[in-house]
Amino acid sequence: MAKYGSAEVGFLLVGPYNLTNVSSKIEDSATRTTEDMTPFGTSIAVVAASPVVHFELTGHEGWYDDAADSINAAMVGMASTATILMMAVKGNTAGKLAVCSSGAIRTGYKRSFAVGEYHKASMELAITGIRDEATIVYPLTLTSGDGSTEAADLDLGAAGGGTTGCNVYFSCTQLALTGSTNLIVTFEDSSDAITYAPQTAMTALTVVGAEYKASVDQTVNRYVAAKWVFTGLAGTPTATFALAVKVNAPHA
Amino acid sequence: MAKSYRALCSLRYPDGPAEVAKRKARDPDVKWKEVPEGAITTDIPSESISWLLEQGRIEEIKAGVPGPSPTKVKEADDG
Repeated sequence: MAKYGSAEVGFLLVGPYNLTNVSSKIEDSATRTTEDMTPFGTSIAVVAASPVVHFELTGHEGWYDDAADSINAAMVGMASTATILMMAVKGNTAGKLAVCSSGAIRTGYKRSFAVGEYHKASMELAITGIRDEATIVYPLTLTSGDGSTEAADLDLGAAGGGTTGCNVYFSCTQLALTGSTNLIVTFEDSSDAITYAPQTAMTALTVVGAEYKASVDQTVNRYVAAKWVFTGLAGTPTATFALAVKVNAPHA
Repeated sequence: MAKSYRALCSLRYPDGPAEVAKRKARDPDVKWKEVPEGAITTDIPSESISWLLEQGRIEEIKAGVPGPSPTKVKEADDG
């Protein structure tokens, strides 16, 4: 067991927007409503928990920023569409926890202005669909040119792989192709940490983007890595991205 | 004679037995080999063959069973 602090919040990514440096507080909440099920003939209350758990990100506090890659653009962009959420709360390091979802929906965006203070901006997000406690495979990092992490792969442990597929979360917050055609990031795995093969390739990017890919009933091996290739490599392209995976639990 | 395998997806592995040994020792300075999807190869590390076969990531090329003919592919392209 360990305690963590604000310095260990590695990233808060909403779609391809990195909101880490404009945020100072957020609450990751799970709530289950209850229903009064008290029937006739008794004076003792019966309350039943709803079978549905609602995940939300509330209590966000931060600063207003009108940069094209910051919170105002993110909230405007999310006016009507769900997007990817990736939140590293125990550090921006491979193997650490990333709270991830494919269905973050903007339910609130508030801007406040006060004399003597920087302008504030806060958001509220609801989660539709899956919310995963995923593992960071590739921390949010600026890379230059092609690369991979096989040499320093991540071992999910003897019980860390599976045979029922996985959910892969990806967010690219900065991309400069410098004449290259596109960027393709691949999630790879290996059974023996010697030979690596692609498990899931993300859609080729020509601009920043975020994506979620799910597989079902597919073997995911315990050693995992990320690989990235700039198709038609030209100049010195750069990208900043993060990749996380949640291996599915065995079938009941 | 070494068996031949067709890569059913791209593969990446240490380039030769000496590099495999370095990899097993977690030497960070390993020379890697990249095999594109569809390529036929004979030097996949022996340790990896069984799981790659089992997971359908490679297939063995059996003698007398040719793969897709480039000529036929071209004919198909020509419509």
